[in-house]
Amino acid sequence: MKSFAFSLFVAAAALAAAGRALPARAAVEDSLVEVLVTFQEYDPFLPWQKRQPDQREGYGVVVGDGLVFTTESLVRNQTLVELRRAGRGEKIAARLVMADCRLDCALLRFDTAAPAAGGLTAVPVAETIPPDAQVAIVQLDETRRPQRGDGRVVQIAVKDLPHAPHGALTFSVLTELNVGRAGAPVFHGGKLAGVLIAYSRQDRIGAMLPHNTLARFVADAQTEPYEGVAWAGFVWKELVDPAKRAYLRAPDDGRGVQIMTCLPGTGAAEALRPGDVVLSWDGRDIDNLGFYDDPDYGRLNLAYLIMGRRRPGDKVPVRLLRDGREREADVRLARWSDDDALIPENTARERPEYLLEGGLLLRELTGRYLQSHGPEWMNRVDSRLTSLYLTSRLAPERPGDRIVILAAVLPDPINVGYQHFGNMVVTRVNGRPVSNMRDVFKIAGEDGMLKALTLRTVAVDLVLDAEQMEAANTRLERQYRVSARSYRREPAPGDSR
Amino acid sequence: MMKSTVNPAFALALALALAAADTATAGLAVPFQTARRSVVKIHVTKQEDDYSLPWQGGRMMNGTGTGFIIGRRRILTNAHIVSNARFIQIQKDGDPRRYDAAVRFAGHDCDLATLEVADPSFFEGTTSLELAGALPRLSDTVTVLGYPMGGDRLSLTRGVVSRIDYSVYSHSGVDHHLVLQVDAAINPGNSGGPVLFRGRVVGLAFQGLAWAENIGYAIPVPVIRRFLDDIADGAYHGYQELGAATLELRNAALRRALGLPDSRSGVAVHYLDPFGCGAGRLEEGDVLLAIDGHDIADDGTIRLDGNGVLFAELLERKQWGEAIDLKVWRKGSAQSVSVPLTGPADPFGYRRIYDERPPYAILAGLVFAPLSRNYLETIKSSTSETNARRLLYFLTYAKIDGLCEGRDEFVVLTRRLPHPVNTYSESFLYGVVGTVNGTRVRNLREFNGALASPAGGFHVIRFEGMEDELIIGAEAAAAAAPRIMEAYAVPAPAYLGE
Repeated sequence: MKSFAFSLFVAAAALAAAGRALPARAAVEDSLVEVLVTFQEYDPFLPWQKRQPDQREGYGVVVGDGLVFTTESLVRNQTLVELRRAGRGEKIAARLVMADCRLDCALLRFDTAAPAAGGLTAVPVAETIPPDAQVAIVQLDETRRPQRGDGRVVQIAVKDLPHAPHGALTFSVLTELNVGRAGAPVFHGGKLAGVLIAYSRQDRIGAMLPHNTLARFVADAQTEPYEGVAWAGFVWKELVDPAKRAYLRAPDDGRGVQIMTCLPGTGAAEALRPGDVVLSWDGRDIDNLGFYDDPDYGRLNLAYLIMGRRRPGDKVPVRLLRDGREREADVRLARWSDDDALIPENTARERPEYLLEGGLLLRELTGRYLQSHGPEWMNRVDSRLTSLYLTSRLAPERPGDRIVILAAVLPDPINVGYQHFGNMVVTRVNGRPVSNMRDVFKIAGEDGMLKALTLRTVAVDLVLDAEQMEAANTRLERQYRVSARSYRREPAPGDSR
Repeated sequence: MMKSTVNPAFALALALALAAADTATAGLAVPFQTARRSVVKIHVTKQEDDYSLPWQGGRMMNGTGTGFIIGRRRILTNAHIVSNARFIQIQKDGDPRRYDAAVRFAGHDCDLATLEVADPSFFEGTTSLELAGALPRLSDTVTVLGYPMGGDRLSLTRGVVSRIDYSVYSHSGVDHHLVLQVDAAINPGNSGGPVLFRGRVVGLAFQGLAWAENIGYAIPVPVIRRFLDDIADGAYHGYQELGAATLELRNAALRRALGLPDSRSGVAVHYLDPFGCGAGRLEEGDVLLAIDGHDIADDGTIRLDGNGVLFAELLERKQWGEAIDLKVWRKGSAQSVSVPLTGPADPFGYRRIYDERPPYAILAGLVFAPLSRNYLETIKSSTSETNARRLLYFLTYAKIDGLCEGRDEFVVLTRRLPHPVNTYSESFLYGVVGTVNGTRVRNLREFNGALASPAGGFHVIRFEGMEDELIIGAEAAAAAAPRIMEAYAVPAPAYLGE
């Protein structure tokens, strides 16, 4: 009898909590959609063609007139995005407005005039939620009816995103609801508190992209130009070791982290130096592990202080220690861009730029390309490329520098003797140095073709017969069914490269 | 090794079977009873050095192998049987006595060694096997004698020569030479045993393939002969490398770019190893036209005894101090280049090391040692440690990417013996040392020397490819040393080699 009473009590408490967190039933049903994605990635090894198309399913939530918020990893490489309402069969076509892999955020637009879209209504996004907020998570059950579960925010921290190697502010939500797909909306006080981007069945913890990240992205995505996430362009390391602190004459109060790398072209490269100790950033003290006291979330990683409330273009005051002396500096923030790296990750799996001439396939090295060699890629890819990725990924000598590689050679009479080369670093094309594919295209354009290729530490150039080239290219296109011998991305406006 | 008691009746039957095989075996023109008097069993106690704890001896292992007498009181066997040996004894077939033996020469690059026995009575009643003048041909039936697992007494197996090819010699981990592949059973314990054709030695059984059946490998007679010729002057010098990486010239456009007339053929040198014999004699961009009078084809082969073989085959037959005559195409004309095969020792070749005490130096419980294949093999291949991954790059590209310039070896932070003085050094593990207290160090000895002059009370160590510096308080390090050495049973703070 006692235990019965107890469980009744728990049920009542849960109901009360859900009642507080959720908006009216109709509002939930009218804002939740399934997101059905067909996606197809370009083949990393034969970049003119695509791999098998496949499907992914997740959730989205209506956040504005004809606008649905969902996760970037869900719509990655999408060829078709469709929405479907709870309990309904009709699919509503949607198009991608903006996706940002840095935050795992995506915004979709659908035609509000579509018959099946009638009644879809935006849910308001919460402006703030308490750090230990009681929340309600909504997803669809097997019969595709809304299913609610209670949850509680148990942690707020900067964590690596589940589908990208980038840190972002993440709320951990403890819930009994077995969340099956990404994008499930989370409510608090009748408003949208965030969406779940991952769920661990074992820990019963969902990773939630919070309301503020979401709201800012939605606003940004609707305004030209897209502003994106701010960053300063440096890599730092904790500074705990007492011997090292004494050596650097760092203060005894436990403040400060050490700058390791400053990316060329960024605000960090202008104002900071490797070895500098950052004591405070934007008016807040940084401890020796890189944490600061956030006004909203308490102890938080420096990464959020840099990007959380600031915008690209802002200048932030920094107090630092250099050569044992404290000094002030202003650091310019810019939009975080994967393209700043010597070896971009290409998390979004965009089509790579490439040139196939005489069967020689040239492209830039990316994290995605390396990982395409399989989970054991570090054991399979040449150790030189692995080493470059592990140590120099964020250290181009000049902005826009990349590693150009001869990825492979498609065998043809014009390239006999060279067919065993693959994944080699290219230093020169037609005798002129190349730092990225842009250089390659420029030289190949000016000279009319690729005549000679210099590989790193190979003293003999790979020479191609100019007279045979046209016939060879035609033959290669036919034999290997190459639909396009090159792909060049349109330079973005203001792209300095 | 597994020991088994042999049933006397069974052993007798086996002996009879062997005697019967004697006359029927094509591989044995000399009577089996003669051949068996030259094949001996080798009992070895080994201790492989533990490169992760370099100050102490590693695990002890007992094993057996085979050897055979080749005249002048020498016993030929595999280097891998007797490497890192602490105690060696030899037993003749049918003789219960064991004789103490010692390694006279070991060629780790060709996995061959000779042993000597001090007791002159050992050779009583023995015979010597003779080396064949030439390789057997494919499908020739050969006989393998040895002491494989599964019994104590001499065993005989037969098979045909199924392939003659270049293959890796797994003992050193890096060398490739000619091998004889036979389909006779070659099992652990067979190693070092003779492969006979018409009563003469055409090979020495040395390795098998773990995942394949009926593939056994033998070191063929030209490699054995080269080893014996090499040690004739009382020292083993090993194989000499030309150190020229070449590109085939099958591409007509490449031939034209190099200015090579249509009448010429050869391969283009695209990289010269600074430790190869060709360094200083050859130039990058040279086309190798001929070697010792043999024209080199555009695919790098020469005609030798009616067969097309890689031109490097001629180098395989040369001894240290000899020269090789090359004809090269350089800057539009043919030139003769004589390359003396007297290359310097190559510390960046990364053969597996045997019979050498591993050097190390310890600072504040951090163990530094030269990079070696032996050390790398102690690190789990599954490790995701960035620094450990990079060691493979240093090993592979030391010379090619010029990483070895200004160094005799790479000094690596190999492990941490945890103590409060080194608590914050985790991220430097497996790093390659660049400078110590402002000094670039060539080798472990210089590293150890640079520790004598800390700057401003700190040891400052910079590692290759890392922005971060390792800082160790000099006084704290000195104070911690006795406690660390006692706790981890380290007998000396450093061993820097002989």
